[in-house]
Parts: sequence; structure tokens; C-alpha cells
Amino acid sequence: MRYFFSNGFVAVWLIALSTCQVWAAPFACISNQLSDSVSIIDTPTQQVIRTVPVTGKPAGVAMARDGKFCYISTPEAQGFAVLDMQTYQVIRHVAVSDGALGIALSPNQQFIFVADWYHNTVSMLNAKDFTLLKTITVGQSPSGLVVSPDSHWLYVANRLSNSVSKIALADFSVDSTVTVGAHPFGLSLDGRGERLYVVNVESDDVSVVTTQTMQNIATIPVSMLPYAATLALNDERLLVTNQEDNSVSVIDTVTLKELTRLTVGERPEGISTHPDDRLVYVANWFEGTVSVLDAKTLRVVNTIKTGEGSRAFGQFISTH
Amino acid sequence: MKKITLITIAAVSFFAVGQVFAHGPVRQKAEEDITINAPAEKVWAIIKNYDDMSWLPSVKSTTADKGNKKGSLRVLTLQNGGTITEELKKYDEQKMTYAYKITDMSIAKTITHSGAEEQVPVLPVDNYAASIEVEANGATSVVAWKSAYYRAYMNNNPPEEMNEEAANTAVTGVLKSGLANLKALAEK
Repeated sequence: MRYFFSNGFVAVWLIALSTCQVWAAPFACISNQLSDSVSIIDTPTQQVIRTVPVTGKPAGVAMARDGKFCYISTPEAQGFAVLDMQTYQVIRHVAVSDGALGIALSPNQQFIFVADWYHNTVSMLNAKDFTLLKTITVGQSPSGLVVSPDSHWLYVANRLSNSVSKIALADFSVDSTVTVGAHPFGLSLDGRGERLYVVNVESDDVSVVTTQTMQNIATIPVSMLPYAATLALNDERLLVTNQEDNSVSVIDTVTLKELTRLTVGERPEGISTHPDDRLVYVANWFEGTVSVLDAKTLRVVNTIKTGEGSRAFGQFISTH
Repeated sequence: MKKITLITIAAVSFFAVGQVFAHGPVRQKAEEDITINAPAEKVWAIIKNYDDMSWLPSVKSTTADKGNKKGSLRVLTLQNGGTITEELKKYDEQKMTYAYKITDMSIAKTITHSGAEEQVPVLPVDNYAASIEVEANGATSVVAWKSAYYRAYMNNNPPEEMNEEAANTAVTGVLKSGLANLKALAEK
């Protein structure tokens, strides 16, 4: 009996070890809205290793830092899908509300936030059992969401109110609101949680907001219909997708000026930085590809075929 | 009999639930291309003037306020009397391409849906952007016309005149008829 137990223990230990090896590679999860699927890219080889069917027109993506789960908002299925990154299968669908688009996970991995485009609300769920904890009203058509590194604050881009709400997670209430450019959509927050970059789709620019005082301190012009942004190289570069220009604007975050514009695929939307802090992945909606950019050499290093209508709105690459 | 009633109720409730929880709009795309047995320059010459959309069969006349300059607004008057206003977003003579966006449309008809009056635009889409490009391929050329748009009805539960299918059918029809006529004109 004792011998058996010990063998069983070794077996479990071996399975756990091999599982860790699977998780070792950072993955990118690309939502393909028009083909109802998610492409999983193994970033070391930059190849799609799986295409997982996800019904409900998958749009927003929130990847767990440890890479164990990926949460994908499904506007047509009124909530989000939970993708197990070990088995590459959707293990659960969580109903939230009927306009679910923006989705984020707190860095401490305790809470999932879902913005509802129609009801002007943000819901907070327990990330372990998916129970709905609270729903609050924000501005009109909330879209992009980002949580501070200390998991104390949530920022919400209110697209039709031209504002960003700062929400205290301690009591899940709106702390303050700042006016930004026209139709803010994607958000990117620096590593210290001090500076928030807000991508304004209609005014073709990026608002720079200091989070402590919630003041709009600068506006950086980019190109046509920008969508989302990400930071790279120790927060020194901000990369912004420009949908109608098939380009990514590279901004120097010290001078707050655009350095250059890189041509990517057609209608770039979601953008995320690899944990190496240098390679940046861009989902090209119209052509169903992902461009991989090197933020240091400012070159496109690869283009990966994904699915129809690649959006990947949110943080879609794991940090481990 | 009772069983049938129950099934009917189940089916009706399922339908009702589907209605209540219908989603928001998802952006659609359409892409058509055609190979033309004529040099790219000849094909580009037919479509290059932003104020001349005579190569599209459904258009009766075109005017534009700033020619081929970015920001130029053109008004297409259709054979059926409707109008579409489009803003020039990008123009590249070298690459033989331009991109534009619909900024205004006349109303084709008014329908009643969910107890409210809804106006159906001449092209049943919303937030429509498109680009057209001519690519040289030796003595022949390939023209690609691409567009991205939403259905006309931006709230939940669209009427059939304003749903995704209506939008996709209408847009694909425009792109196909335009390219087919362009081919005919260029190969003359």
C-alpha cells in the first residue's frame, strides 16, 4: 500500500513537471471574430499551434499572467469563454451580460472585469469560481480596461462619453473621471501604474493621463482611426495601431513624440508586448494575420496567418 | 397533444430568449478582386478621378469638392435617386490606390421595427470604409476592392432589412458589379 502510494505520488509529480514545461512558453491568444475561433501562437517559434473553436464572436482577450487560462469575451454569447491553456479547450462559458466586449484580469489574478457596451456597466467577477461580485455604472459604451500593477485600481475607457473612469477596487466604486479625446478605446498603463495612455479612435490621437491626479497632461497625434496601444523597452516606447492606415505608430514616451510609423497588415487592431519587452504582436483584422514587430530595430520581423477577423482586443500574451 | 404544446412552449421560449439576449454588431468585411486583360495604367486611368464614379453601374452622376485631395467629399447620385457622400481618406497615385469612407447617405425607406420607426439607408450599412487598388501583373492587372463596415442597425435585434446578411449582400453586389463593369470598360 505504501509502495503503491509512493508510485502514485511520483506519477503525479511527473505529470506536474511535464505540465510546467508546456506552460513554460509564453503564448499569444488571438481572437478571430468572424471565424469564431482563437489562434494560439507559441511565441518562441512564432507558430500557430492550435486553433480553438470559440462561439459567440470572440473579441476581447485577457490572458492570465501565469499563462494557465485565457479569458475571451464573446459578445454574441453574452459573456466570456474560459480557455484552458494546458488542454487548449474551452472549459467553461460564463454569462455576464449581453454587450460584453472589454475584458481584463487583475495582476493578482483574483478578479475578472467585463465591460458592457450597451448597458454602460463594468462587472467584477471572482476569477476562481466566476461568481458575479458587483456591477457598477460607468460612462457610455465602456470598452478598454486595464488594472494597475498593484491590483488596486481599474481604468475604463468610456467610448461615447470621451472619458476615462478610475475605479477603486477596494469597494468597486468610481473614484474619479477625466475627459480625454474623442472616442477613447484601447488603454495602456505603464509598469509603475502612474501613466495611462488612452487611444482616441475619432480624434486620431493618444491622451496621456497621470493616474494619481487623473489629469490629461498631453495629447500625441497619431494616424487614422487608432485602436489600441502597448508599451515596450522599459516603457520607453508606446506602440499604437492605426486601423485605417495599416500602420503602427511608435512613440517616444519621454518626448511624447511619434518617432516613426511601421507598416503592418490590413486594419491592425489588438496589440500586446511579449514578456521579452521587445517583440510586439499586432492582430490585423482585415487580413487575418498577426505582425510581429521588433520595438528596438523598428522592423516587422514576421507575419503569422491566423483566422478571419483577428481582433485580440486586450492583453493577449502571457508573461510566463 | 399536451406534449406538442410543451414542445411549442419550449421552442417559443428559446426563441424569445435568443431575442432578448441578441448581441451587438460585429464588424463585417467584403473583398472582391478581378483580373483585367489590360495594363494597370489603363485601368487606373478609368477609376483614378475621385469625382468620376461613372464606371459603377448604379451611379448616375458624381461631384467632388476637392478632386483627388485628401478630405475631398464626393456625392454619388444613384440611378434610383438616392445619394451617398464619401470622404477621401487616402490617395496614392504611385501605388494606384485610394481609400474613402461613407459620411452620409439618403434614406431608402422607413420601416417599423419593435414599435419604432427605423430609417434604412440606400446602402444598408454603418461606419463604412473602403479602398480600391490596381496592381500591375505584366500586361494584365488585378484590381482589389475591399471594405469594412457594420450592419445598418446598431442596436440589438436588427430587422431583416438592416442585419448583417442585408449589409453583406448589398456590399458584395456593389463590389462585384463595379469590378465586372470596370473589366468590360478596360478591355474594350
